[in-house]
Amino acid sequence: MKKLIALMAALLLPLTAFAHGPAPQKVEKTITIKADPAKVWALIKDFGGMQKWHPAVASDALEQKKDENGQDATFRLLTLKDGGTIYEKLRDVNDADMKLKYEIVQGVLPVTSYISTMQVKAGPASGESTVTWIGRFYRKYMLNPPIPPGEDDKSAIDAVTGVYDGGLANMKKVLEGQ
Amino acid sequence: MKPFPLIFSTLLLALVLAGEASAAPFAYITNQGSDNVSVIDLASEKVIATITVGKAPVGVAAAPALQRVYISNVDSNSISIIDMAHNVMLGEIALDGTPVGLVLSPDEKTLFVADWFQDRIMAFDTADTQRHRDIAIGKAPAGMAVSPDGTRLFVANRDSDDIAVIDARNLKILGRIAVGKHPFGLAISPDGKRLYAVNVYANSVSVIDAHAGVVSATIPVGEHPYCAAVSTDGSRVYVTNTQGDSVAVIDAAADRVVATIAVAAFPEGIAYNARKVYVASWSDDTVSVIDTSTNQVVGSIPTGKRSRAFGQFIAEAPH
Repeated sequence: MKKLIALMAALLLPLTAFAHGPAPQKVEKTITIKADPAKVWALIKDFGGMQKWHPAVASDALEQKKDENGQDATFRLLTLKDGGTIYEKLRDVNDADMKLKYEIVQGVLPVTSYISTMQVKAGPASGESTVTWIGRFYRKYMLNPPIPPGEDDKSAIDAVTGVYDGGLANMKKVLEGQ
Repeated sequence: MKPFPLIFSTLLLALVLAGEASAAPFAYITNQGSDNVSVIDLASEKVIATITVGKAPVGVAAAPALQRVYISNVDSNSISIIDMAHNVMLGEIALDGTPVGLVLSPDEKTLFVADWFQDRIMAFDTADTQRHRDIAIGKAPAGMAVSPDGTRLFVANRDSDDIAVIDARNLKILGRIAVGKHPFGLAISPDGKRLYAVNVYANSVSVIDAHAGVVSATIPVGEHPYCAAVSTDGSRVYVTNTQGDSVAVIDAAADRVVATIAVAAFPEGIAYNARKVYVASWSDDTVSVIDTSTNQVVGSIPTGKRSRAFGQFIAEAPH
């Protein structure tokens, strides 16, 4: 596993030297869950437990190591049920705001410079929670057009939308005990 | 009775003049996700007009003397020209490139356009936008600034990690200044002495002696900073930390951050006007208003989708 991650990190380095397109894309999805905010937040902040609620995730392996700046950091390797992987870095866990921030280091989604937040807020009704998942990213193809098929803005938005819609719907099921 | 109308009209004139003098300027906020520009009256801090422009507008340069605002549309490869007097589109310049950064010479005779993909700056005569002169530049040119005397154009080459210094009249490259990783936004002090380059990947701001062309200090700021604005007296520099959801306040005399202000999510474009700072929030679709005397957020103005306002976006409009 360590070797794989090191290899993925090495492969990733040259990518950051490329320019990406100038228009970042956004996907924002919200769902209301009939569960206590503390319970919802506990599930979301568990960075190594995404397989508990996301239906596309088969396993989630946490890793602690130094990041590119020599700082201690938390990473996770998501292995998807279709065999693909996504390697992510935890950027921040804010208990006061019930807000998680992470970025994709490398993975199968057709995106570049992906950063995301997941936030839990109490309401609208008592005992309910509202979860908002926001992603900012660029398309996969980072150079001058023409853009190869599957690497354009729409492909990136569609892929992230699929991840968010599927994940939030299943999170609701898991937390509401259906 | 004869003198009365004269006095009255003098009074009226005085009132009208006073009204004009105190009228606040307007902010022109590019909304990348809704293909329009929100015009904010800074007196009321409300959007008074929304103007449809090209696809994915990002850059903005306001020309108060010409009463025009130039907008770069990255997805439709064009520059939209807005009439400030009537808040309508005057026209659109089609380009064979991808415009991002925009800046005007102080006399408003030249509009500089950074072409992201073709690594060049296009210089347009604002009186005749049919033709342009080109300058080949470093990789992914982004933010630009012109010295207050109009002699120098500075360009942040994001993927070359340097700032190009260009003679703004003959468009010759005079030199390059190495800065931190991925410089994006540039701002220059009103006296033209200090240039600030915002280094996105280095989480820092390079302070450049604009005359000597050397970096005099590097100031750590917040996460993934994008843009900077300098106060009118030059004493403070405000920097948007896009992934920190905050604005760093730099004391220019001490070259260090003296405050960090939480603002709406993913702040990008920033401008200073009359002791307030206006910040476009890409993720929350608002402009945050900061009172610089207290460093508190005192307002939030709803705009269009994915507000960026990359450039000099505040100007006085006619009345």
